[in-house]
Amino acid sequence: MISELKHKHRDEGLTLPELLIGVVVFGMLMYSISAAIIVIARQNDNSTGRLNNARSEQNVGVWMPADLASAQTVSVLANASPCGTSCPVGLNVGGSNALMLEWDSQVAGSTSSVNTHTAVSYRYLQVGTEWQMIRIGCTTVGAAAPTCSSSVILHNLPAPPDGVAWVPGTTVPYWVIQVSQPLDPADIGGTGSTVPIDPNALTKNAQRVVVTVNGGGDAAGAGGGQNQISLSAGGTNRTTIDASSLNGTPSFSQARSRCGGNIALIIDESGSIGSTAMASIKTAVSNFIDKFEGTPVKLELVLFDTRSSVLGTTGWTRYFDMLNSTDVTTLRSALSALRSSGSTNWEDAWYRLFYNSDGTVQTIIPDLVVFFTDGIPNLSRLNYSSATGPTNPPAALVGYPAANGSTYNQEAFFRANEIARTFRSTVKFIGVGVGTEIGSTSTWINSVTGLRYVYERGYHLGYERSFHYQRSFHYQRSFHYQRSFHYQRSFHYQRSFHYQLSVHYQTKIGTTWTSGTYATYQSAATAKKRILYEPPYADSRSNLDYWENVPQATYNLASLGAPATSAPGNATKRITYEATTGTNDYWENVTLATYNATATTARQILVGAVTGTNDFWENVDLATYNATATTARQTLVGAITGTNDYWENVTLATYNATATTARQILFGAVTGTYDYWENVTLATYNATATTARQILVGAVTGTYDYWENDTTLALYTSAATTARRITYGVPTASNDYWETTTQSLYNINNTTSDEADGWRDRTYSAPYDSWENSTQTLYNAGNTTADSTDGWRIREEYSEPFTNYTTSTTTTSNATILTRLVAGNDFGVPALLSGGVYTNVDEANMYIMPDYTAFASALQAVALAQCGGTVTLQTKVGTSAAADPFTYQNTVTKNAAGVAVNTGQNVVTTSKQFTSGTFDFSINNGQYVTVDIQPQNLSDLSAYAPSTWSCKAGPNSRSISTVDIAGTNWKGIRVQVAANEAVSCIQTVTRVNP
Amino acid sequence: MIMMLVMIIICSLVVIPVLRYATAVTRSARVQQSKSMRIEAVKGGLRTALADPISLYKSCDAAGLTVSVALAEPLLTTKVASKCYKMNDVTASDPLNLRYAVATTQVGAAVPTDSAGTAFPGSGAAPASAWQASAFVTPKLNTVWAPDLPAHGLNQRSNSGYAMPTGFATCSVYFPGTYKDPLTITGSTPVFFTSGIYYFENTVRISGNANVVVGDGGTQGCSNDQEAAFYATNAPSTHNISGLGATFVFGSTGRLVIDNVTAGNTSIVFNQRYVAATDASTLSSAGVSIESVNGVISGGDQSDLTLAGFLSVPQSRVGGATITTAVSQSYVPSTLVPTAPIAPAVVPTNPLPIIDINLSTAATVNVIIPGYVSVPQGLVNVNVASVAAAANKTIQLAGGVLAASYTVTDQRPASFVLGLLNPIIQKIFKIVTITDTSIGAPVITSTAIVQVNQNGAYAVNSWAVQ
Repeated sequence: MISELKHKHRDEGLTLPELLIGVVVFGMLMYSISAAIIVIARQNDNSTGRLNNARSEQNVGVWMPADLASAQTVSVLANASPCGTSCPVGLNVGGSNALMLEWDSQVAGSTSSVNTHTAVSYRYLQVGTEWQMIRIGCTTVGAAAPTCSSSVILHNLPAPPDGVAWVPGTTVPYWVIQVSQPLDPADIGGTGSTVPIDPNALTKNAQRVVVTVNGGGDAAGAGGGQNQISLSAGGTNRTTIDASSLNGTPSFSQARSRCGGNIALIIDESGSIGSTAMASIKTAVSNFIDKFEGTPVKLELVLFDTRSSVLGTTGWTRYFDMLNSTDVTTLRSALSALRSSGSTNWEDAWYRLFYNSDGTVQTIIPDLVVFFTDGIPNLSRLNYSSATGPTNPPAALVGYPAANGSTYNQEAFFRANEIARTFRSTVKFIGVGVGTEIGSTSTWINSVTGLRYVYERGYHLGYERSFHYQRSFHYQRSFHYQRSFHYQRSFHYQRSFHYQLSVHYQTKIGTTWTSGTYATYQSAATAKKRILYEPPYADSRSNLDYWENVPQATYNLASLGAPATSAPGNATKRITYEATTGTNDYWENVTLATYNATATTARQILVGAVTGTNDFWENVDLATYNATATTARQTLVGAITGTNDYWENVTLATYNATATTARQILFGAVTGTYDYWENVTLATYNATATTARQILVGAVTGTYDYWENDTTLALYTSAATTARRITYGVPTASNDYWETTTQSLYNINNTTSDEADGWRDRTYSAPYDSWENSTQTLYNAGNTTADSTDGWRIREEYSEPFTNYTTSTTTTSNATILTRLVAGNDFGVPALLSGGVYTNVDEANMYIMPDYTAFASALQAVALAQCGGTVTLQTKVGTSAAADPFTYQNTVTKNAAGVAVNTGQNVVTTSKQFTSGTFDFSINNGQYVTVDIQPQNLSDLSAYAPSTWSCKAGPNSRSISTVDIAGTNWKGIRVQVAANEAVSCIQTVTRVNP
Repeated sequence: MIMMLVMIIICSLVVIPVLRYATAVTRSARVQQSKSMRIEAVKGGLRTALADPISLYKSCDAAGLTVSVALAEPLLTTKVASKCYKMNDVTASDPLNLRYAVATTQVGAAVPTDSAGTAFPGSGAAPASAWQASAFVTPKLNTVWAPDLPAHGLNQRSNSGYAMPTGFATCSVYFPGTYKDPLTITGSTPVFFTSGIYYFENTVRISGNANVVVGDGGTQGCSNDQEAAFYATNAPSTHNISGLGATFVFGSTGRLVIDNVTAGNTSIVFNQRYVAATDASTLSSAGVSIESVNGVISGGDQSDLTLAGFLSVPQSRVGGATITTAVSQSYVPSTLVPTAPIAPAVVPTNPLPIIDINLSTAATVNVIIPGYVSVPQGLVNVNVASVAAAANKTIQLAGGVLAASYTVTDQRPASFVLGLLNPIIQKIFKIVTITDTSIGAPVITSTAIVQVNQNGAYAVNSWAVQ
């Protein structure tokens, strides 16, 4: 109980301290809890905001980057619609457009591709109390109505800020989305375009869109769920190309060092040089070779005196590779063969350099030719040639004298010059003339000085148009009016007959002559038989009556006396038509009817002269006609019969009077008699034999009229007015005429700068205050006076191509003659020597010097112009070039003061094909640069390990220092290069991973 | 206890939003990453396809509007598949703006009746200069194309060619320039003429086993411009290579002879000549395969060729920023011109043909000249000796021909085109790359419309990634 009371006692309340402590603790606890609740509540809001933000990013990220990547055009107009006025029913296109992206594509149609257009609009709108962003995508295929889809991609977007009056379709929701201009490619920092956008370009650079998303928290910025999402996409270069465009094809570029290529040195070793000078030449040439040693130069030395040869070979040509130490040694050793003798044959040396022995062009044409000589030529290949081929090229030159004297041969010069001229435009020539002969003069024979006549025509300013006088003409072919006729001969239808006398055959019986049968008569002896011409018995003895054929004369004499044993007695006579017997046969002309009624054995047709009775005619050929007696032949005009028809030319009147069955028109060659002509087409004309056609100038007929251009004024004037006209047109180079016109007409009609269009701004008549080039042909045709008063003149121009040659002579310096060969003119670019140094080696092409003092310097200058101030790199495995590409970079270049200088070409590559690479440096005379060179792309060189570096300048070693490349065992080099030297460096590597 | 409960509630209120936030961000990042990878992967499909446009041009030719051809896909961890559709073809010339296909300039000379395309109706008409009224230096609708000459390299070239070194395909290459020596190609070593302008003053004979490709382009030769210029043994430092394809210019006695008199199968294929619009000096050679230098030269002066009433050809000019005479640019007019007849009925004396194709055996001969042939004062000859000789022959002068006259035997080659085919030189493809179905959503598709030219040029017209 007590304990309960105690306990109860203690439960009666808190002591003050306890209360105070409790209050404090509770207060602290409540404060903490309240603070935690407040923080949590606020954080939850912001977390929700950030969550919204993240969700929004996700939604935007799903759609917008792809749309941006596809877009060709961008619109931020509030009233822009993805479906225009053809939106599908029920599609909500309310609110304002915040961003619309559009692009074109193609889809397959039934027979061809169909263009499609896609438009995507991101729109800001209010749905209920919530502000949303929706994406409406519409695709239009061809001319069809667009199909669209819509989706909400952002919720709970900020409402329009205070002060912004929201008008859907008008108010731009800049507080939600901001769209920048397309980024310019050069705008690396993204600070804005620095280059104006080409409004015509389809190029869409990156589109930058900034989307501001408010997640709903109340804290500022991202901590409160307000965020800006920056999206950029695209960069696709959209364009179109013509079908013949080369856009996108592999481009062709070339970058090579000035040092390299094929170089030829032509060396004169004629007798005029002498042994002393030759020693200097050897030294100079040796130095020349030294300068190229280790460079990518291929060098050929051509020697000449009476003939030419190539140093270091017995062959026709050989270029020595200056990267190849063996070649260098061989060439340098061969110099000992130089000697001085013989004449001077420029042509043979130049020929050997550019042509093969057979006259065809060499495969290797040098890029640079250095021509050294101590004199002018006195021989050509016409005199001595080292080639097996013909003396052509050059082609035989017209107007050149054969030779003149032993010291100078004009023809030899011109033949050499012809070769030089052929290659001068594509090959650099440098001339080096040394010695007293070069400094003297020669008699340049101007008769072989090439010149060409320039034909000129004078004019003054005036406007003209061309026209032609024309005459009408006809293409014609000849023809004849003809009627048919026949060659004929006369003939007769005949029947045979006999003149007969009555007879009795008698035999003698005793002394009495008694008539008997013919058989009895036949069997009786000759002396006892006879024929008695007397009338027939006409009684019972009539069987003994006989008739005998007799000649007509006998017949005619009958019945003139008593009976007789010789004709005709008093025999009765008669004519009997019967078959022929072979004796005393006669024929008489009869009608065709009688003829036909007569036995065939008793009739005939007899050709013969007309008799006037029963004459007949038959058609025969001309030969028969001619063989027939004139009294028995005739020609008869008549219709054709199909046999032996003949035609004769007749006049048109006769033709018309002839029956249509007996006439014709025949095309054929003219005969001189009754020839007629008709107009035909050109085709018919061409198809007609030349003997049966003609061209006839005459008045137009309306049929097959042609006009000729080439009519002179005289012919035009002489033609009838109905057969001529004037036409305007382009000149035809034949009988062109011009008439004055006005400047305004000229300006309207003229289309070409010349007169080819028939309009010109010059008048070819006095005063001739201007002259234009013409041709020899036109000059010959137009010139009428010896002076220029007729508007034609000739000028002589001493420039190529030569067509003629003058006849005078001129004292000309031999140096000039050499310059003409090398430079193609009298001047060239003389090398300028200052303080023992040539100062214009890049441009100079003529080195003229009185002696050999500066000869070596000249050759050195030439060499250094090519390769001075260069570093050539090679990569070798052992003594062979590395098969794989090695890339080197000139990482640092410093001048003598240690200041870095810019160099243009800073990467070279060596490979199996290009065994060297050369760095070019621009270094002033007397100066040098220090160059760092390092191998690059080391990860590609795992098959190799570095070994050593070595450098030379000519034949001399060049000290270098190596530069470590961090993290690798590869090393670069640091080497000095002077203006007057070509440094050659070799990196030797080993193959570690074959 | 209460305190514990209170603390748990408080912690829950703190942790749950944080977890939700973390989850959302993580998921968002993963989706974003996946989508970004797939977008880039499908873009890689187009890039891979355009890596070799010439191959794309050929391989997609079998595709159609709805029939696709599968393309090589980029090797990526994100699997995608590419295919192409052919949306359209574009011919070398606008079909509605075609020049005349075949024309003659010589009065009375007819064009072959079986020529392809529209023949110039004024062919062979008088007067001799009549055709010039229809001639223009640029091709136009229903006109005769008489192009200017391009500038050519003055570098004299050897007729030997240059060999490609070991490591390259066996090949003999030639470089643009001036060739004055006869050039004969009969061996079995393939020959490649690098792109540019070739000027010949002598005969170029293709015979025997010759296998020649002229100019770089759609038809692959045994080398290409870049390799030849940089690697051919002793290649000239001034290579004169320009544009794509090559143009042969014949002056003086230069001409192209193709025959199969000697045994072997002969092939010469010209690639179409393309010139960049900025290359004014050779722009006139665009589309031209063969040209002659026209006019006559006398005393150093060049003038028009005028054979009264028979043949009239204006002297050649050299195009460029400034028009110049051909002679001033080291061209020599062709001397292979006919002799005018004394009288109109007399048959003219034909010159040696500038293009002379003689087929006398059954061996295969393939002559493809897709560009224009302009030899208005010369003769084009196609001679098939027999029926047997016509077999295995493909002779195509398909870019149009302008000549003084033609001599073509009645016996035609088995495949013969003389005229204008207006070939297709550009194709428009739709290249679709889509993420592989095996990797699930999201499915990303890249759809690009690209123009690809026969010569390898290309342009992306549109590119949508969805």
